[in-house]
Amino acid sequence: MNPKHASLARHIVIAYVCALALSSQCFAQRDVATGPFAKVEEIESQLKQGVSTKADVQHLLGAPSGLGQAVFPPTYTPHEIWYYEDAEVTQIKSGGADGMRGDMRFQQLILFFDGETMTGYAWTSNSGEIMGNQVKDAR
Amino acid sequence: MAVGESVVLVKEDGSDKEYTLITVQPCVDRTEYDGTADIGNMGTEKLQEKVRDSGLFEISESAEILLTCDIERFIEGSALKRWIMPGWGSTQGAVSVMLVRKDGYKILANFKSQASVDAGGFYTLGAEEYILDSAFNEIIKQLRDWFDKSTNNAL
Repeated sequence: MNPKHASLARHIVIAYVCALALSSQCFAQRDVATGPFAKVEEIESQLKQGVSTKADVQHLLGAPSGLGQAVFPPTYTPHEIWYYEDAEVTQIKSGGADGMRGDMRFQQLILFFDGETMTGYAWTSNSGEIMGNQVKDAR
Repeated sequence: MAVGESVVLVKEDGSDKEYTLITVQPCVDRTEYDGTADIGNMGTEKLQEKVRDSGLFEISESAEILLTCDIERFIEGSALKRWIMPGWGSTQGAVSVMLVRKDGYKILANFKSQASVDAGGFYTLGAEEYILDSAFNEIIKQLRDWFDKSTNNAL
């Protein structure tokens, strides 16, 4: 194809797709995810302290983000620790002249094991809204 | 052309001969993908094929070592969008593979890899078909490095 025609075709398609995108607000539905750890609310119903195993945890949540070991009083027996984290922008909303807005989620989970058995866990989940502003030129 | 990055968390070396016999577990689809493709099956088939072709391990149902597989991200993307604006319509895939000793469910190593096709025209059509392939290629490379390095150190 002639480069001139190719460029014209591209511009026509761009204009068409942009019009379509703006009318359907498909920009507003774009999701950006950074990880798979999205089922923190299922931990309490699906995992049982003193019963669930490492395999159960891996089956529910996948590969941990980190591993470690700790000892606690009074026995000071080593406990293996699995760590999960999830930080993601769950939805980017179209913004105005000030910048863009979106929903975000940050979750952390720590599980403790005695041998293969899960002996305890702690988790936090924080959902909120983020807003990015354009940086004003200070000059 | 897909670009990718990978990370490996090594817990133990791979010099032990028992690691050459592994059970490949089915890939778990942990994405929130709601399209028509069966990501889990697609991943399982790709991983088994890659492991077999690598010659690193022998696949056995009764092995003491498990190879787990999680598909952590899959975004089909669109070649048309990429053609219009690089970065828009990006095709993405991310996988996580762990070597686990059955006894005590001890994690030996964790390999993560992600691949994406962010730019390009219609020649990038079908990127959703090979994006997991690219991600698993990285995993196999990491597995080979882990295995070779450990074996050489042991010698």
